[in-house]
Amino acid sequence: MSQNDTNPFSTIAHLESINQCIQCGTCSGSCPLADLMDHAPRELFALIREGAYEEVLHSNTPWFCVSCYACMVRCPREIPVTDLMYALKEVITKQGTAPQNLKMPDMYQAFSRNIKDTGKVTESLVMARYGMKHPMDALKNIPLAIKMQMRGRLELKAQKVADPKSIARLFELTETSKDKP
Amino acid sequence: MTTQNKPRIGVYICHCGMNIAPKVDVEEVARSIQTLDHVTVARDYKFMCSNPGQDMIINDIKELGLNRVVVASCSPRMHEKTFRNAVKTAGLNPYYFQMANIREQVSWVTKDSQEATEKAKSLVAAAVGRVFFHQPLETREVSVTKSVLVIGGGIAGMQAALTSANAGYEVYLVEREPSIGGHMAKFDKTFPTLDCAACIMTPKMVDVLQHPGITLYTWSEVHKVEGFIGNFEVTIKKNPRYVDEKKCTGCGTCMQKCPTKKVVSEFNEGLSFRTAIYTPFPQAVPNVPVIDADHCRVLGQNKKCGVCVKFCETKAIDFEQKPEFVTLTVGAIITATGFQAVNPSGMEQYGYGRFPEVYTSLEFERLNNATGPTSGKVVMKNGKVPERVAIVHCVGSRDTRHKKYCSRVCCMYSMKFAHLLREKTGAEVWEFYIDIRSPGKLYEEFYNRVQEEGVRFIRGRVAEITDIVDDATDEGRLTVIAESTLTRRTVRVPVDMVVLSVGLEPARGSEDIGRLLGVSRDGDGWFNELHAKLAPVATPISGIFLAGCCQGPKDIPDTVAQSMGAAGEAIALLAKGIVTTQAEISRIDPDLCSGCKSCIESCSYSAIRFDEARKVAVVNEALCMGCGSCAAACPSSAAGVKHFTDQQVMGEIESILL
Amino acid sequence: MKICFYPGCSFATSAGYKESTEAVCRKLNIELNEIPDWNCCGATVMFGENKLRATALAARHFALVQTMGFEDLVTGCNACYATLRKAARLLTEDQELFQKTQEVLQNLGLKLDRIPKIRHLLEVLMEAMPDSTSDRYKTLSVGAYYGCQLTRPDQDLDKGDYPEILEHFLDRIGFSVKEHSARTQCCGASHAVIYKNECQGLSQRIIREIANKGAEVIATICPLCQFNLDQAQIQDNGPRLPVTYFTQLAGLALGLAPAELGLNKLLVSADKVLTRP
Ligand SMILES: Cc1cc2nc3c(=O)[nH]c(=O)nc-3n(C[C@H](O)[C@H](O)[C@H](O)COP(=O)(O)OP(=O)(O)OC[C@H]3O[C@@H](n4cnc5c(N)ncnc54)[C@H](O)[C@@H]3O)c2cc1C
Ligand code: SF4
Ligand code: SF4
Ligand code: SF4
Ligand code: SF4
Repeated sequence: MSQNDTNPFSTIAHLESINQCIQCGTCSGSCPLADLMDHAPRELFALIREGAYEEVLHSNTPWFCVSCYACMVRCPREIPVTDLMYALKEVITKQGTAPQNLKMPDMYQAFSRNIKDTGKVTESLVMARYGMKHPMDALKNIPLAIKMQMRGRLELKAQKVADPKSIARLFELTETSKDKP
Repeated sequence: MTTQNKPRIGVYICHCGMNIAPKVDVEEVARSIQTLDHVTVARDYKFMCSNPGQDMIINDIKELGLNRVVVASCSPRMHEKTFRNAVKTAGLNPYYFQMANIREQVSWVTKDSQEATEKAKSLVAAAVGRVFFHQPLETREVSVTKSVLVIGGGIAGMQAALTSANAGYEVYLVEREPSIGGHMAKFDKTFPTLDCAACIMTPKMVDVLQHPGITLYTWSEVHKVEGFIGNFEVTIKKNPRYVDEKKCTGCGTCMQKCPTKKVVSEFNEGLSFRTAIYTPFPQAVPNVPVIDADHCRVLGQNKKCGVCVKFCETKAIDFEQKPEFVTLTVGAIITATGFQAVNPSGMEQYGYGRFPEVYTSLEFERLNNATGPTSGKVVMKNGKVPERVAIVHCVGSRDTRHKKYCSRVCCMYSMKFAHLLREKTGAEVWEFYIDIRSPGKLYEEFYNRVQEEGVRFIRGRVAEITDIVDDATDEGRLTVIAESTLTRRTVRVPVDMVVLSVGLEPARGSEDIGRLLGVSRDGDGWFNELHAKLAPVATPISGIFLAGCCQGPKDIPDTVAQSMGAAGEAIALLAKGIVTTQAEISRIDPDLCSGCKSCIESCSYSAIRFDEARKVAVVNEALCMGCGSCAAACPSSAAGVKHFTDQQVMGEIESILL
Repeated sequence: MKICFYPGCSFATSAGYKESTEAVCRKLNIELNEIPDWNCCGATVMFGENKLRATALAARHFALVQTMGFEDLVTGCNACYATLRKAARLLTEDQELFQKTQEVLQNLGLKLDRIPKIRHLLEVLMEAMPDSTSDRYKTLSVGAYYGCQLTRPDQDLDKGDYPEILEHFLDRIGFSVKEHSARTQCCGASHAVIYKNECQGLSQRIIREIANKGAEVIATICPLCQFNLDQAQIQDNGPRLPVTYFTQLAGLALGLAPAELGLNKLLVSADKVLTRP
């Protein structure tokens, strides 16, 4: 386990709340995709407390948070677990340390890129972009797409805001900022 | 200030070992104070509270003719008494003394040494400025009524009553339920030794009943408390039982015959029914039923019935009974109102109330009890014996959304349940815990024993209990979901029964008792002890003591020990027979009083009465606690508290500001 | 009644959410004022990428709502609801973030003075729908499915794990409600494309539970939930329960025709249960 002197997560809002974690496991026990995570959510808190920042930066855990908030309403220490998962993801994204073989970051990127380009999300376009990197996943979904198409539920044309440039501008304005997660 | 009494002040700066001296430059403080007006001598010394320290003060008073003393050291709560006594020994009135706290308020909390020294100088100067205006005050002695009131008849109240009565004092025990016994009466076995609760409890209950020194008021409440240490005037409200205690023989015929049979039994935690005329359990003390007026056909519904009247051979039933009020004078009061279990209904993830096989621990105690709804057979609602049971620790405890504290007894009773389940049913038992808390004599050993019995301990707080069926063979069972934090697996355990080890909270109505007695409660509602370590059974109100769980969650051994402690304190007070009243009390100047009565309303201790003849307010010196509410309320500046006169307080403030 | 409506990206292509919402609102005289030129709320993605950006994307609507003269913003999507609320909460709680967001908005020619109250379409219909007077659907048993983000994390509308408002609503408008334990279990929507098997399992567990407790139809309040529960069924041979929107059921209760409510768009058809006498 590598140790790092400076805590890359120190600017996260309410990070101090993890000092209160009693490692009870309520969060992980409530978590729908805990089985896919390399660390239980609580373990990330313990790792940060131990200074094992690298371990956290490379963990896949935050990427499997489906944002169901089940942990957050049950945590006996009222630690904002879900909010912290978002914030950890933001630090990991900015530091570029997401696990190489993990597909979720690519999906997130495709999604984000679609918003940047058009201001709105068109599922087929997100899939198309993501599919360029992971063609198998995209192919698996084609039969379903056809069924959707038949019911008039597949939009192939991009939904757009009136002035997509303004959204691109919003992205630029927030790109440069070194903001707190 | 008369000229004969020209102040000659001695000031003593304490090093308190390494507590004050290294941070505060005590010699510098003494040097600077020495220059103040009226200061005859200023010295510093290692330990002022030690005998040589006190002797230094006594000698200076005698040799230098000091008539005022200031000690700058720790909190007055620690040593004000010590130094007042020293001053008194030297022949001065002990109120010619003032203390400056340069430890808690200076050396322990101020980082910078120079700042600390400056702050200490200001505080000592303030004490000098104040003591200048001090006046001699006198205390009085009042005799003590040799009797004790005990509120609450659980194991704590019973023990406190027995110990006090065994010492020869008159005891009045007030219990609001129809029987004494409290929670312990609901248990079958008690950890860690697994003694039969009834076997150790019933004899005590009978002792209480038969003790010539104890008067028992069950189905009664404390209605009013007035007075003060040594002489509390207490009014007890006896609720109508509708059964004459003197005539009833406890034959129980009425209970068999009463046609109102479907009243939910409180004692059995809602798991069975009782009749409208009932005793909560067979060994109830006194063994005299009460009629539940809400459910009785005659009393509650205006219907014809009177079956109990017809069958009662001694004519004990009396529908005409009214509440009765009894007034007593007691020297001391022991509060033993216990706890209640936290209701887990609000914690939806556990499904309590939704799933019939999710029980609270108290329900389980009844299920397991020979006198309970199933005669002690641990069975499910369908009558079958459970094959797998989950016990869930920390329900409502250690949870900032509910009770932030650890309830202290639930780990142990959970393991008691595990043992009983293994023994009685052979069921597989899964205990879900965060930490096992077993700090007590033979407690860890009990944990080990239960481990040996094959109980599966899973370290993880339960996330959810659900009736969602994941495997068709588990149809009808509940699934307990938790992370096993030691293996980092999410376990999903299908079980037949779940026991929620709910936490403890103060008994319903504690707030009212607190208000009646003037005893404050902490943020969680438990009664405040005077000092967490050194005065754990006393309260801030002199003469009122605490026993058992009303002060905080505890097991039976600790409860009994504390009850004996509370009784011991009460006995010490009664045995001495006198109490010394406080000197720092209110004084109302009859010449200034306009008779507006504002002070009377403001006084929480009912210590002020109105003299109709002179049309002025008068302080009862025995009742006044010197809180100063009257002084603040009085628009005519007639009320003031001795030792806190305007002059004294202003003298103190001015010296700080200088 | 006039409401300011934020449809979100999945509304238009959903299985009749749009049709039924519009039809029901027309019938109840609710004027739906769509935020002109709305953008994506950022969903679960944006807050994991860049907090300021996520907040600004959401706050752009807040500024627009303000120019429209509304105090509340209504959405029918749980993901939008939770995301917008998160942004609203952060903007109230964190002055610095508010300032920065304001700067971004000003750069886009917008200004934020007031943060609207974020409400779910369900709340609006709970107020507006009349009690049922007919027995037409009394024998149609419905299981209510909330998904995860309506009552969590705020728990202000109802309890977080075991809410009951949707059940009350359905009962009131004339359906037979079946209680069940999967009402707020997560369906895994955000991860369904990549982690197909795992998320499929989550959805199927929900459907099995609702079917087990005797419901014939599922009522949802979110396009993502609807899609996920609907598609999960055509990929295995478990029970088949039509997954409707609460607005479609409200429409039926108001006597509107299934076709008008887009009920023909479901993957698992509701024709059979609806035409049953
Ligand atoms: C499920 C469970 C199992 C337990 N098992 C064990 C065990 O095996 N071993 C062990 O050592 N400890 C055990 N305990 C702890 C034990 O119950 C307590 O230590 C003990 O009961 C405390 O006694 P008490 O008299 O302070 O309080 P209580 O038992 O609560 O008694 C208080 C009494 O005061 C009365 N009262 C309350 N308010 C008023 C009022 N205003 N006026 C008049 N009367 C009032 C009540 O009616 C009651 O009779 C267990 C606790 C629980 C919850
Ligand atoms: S539920 Fe809260 S206290 Fe428990 S392990 Fe998770 S974060 Fe820590
Ligand atoms: S909010 Fe995220 S971390 Fe928490 S239980 Fe849901 S998926 Fe797991
Ligand atoms: S009078 Fe009341 S208590 Fe007596 S038997 Fe009838 S219902 Fe029971
Ligand atoms: S005693 Fe044990 S079960 Fe009870 S609150 Fe403390 S840790 Fe939890």
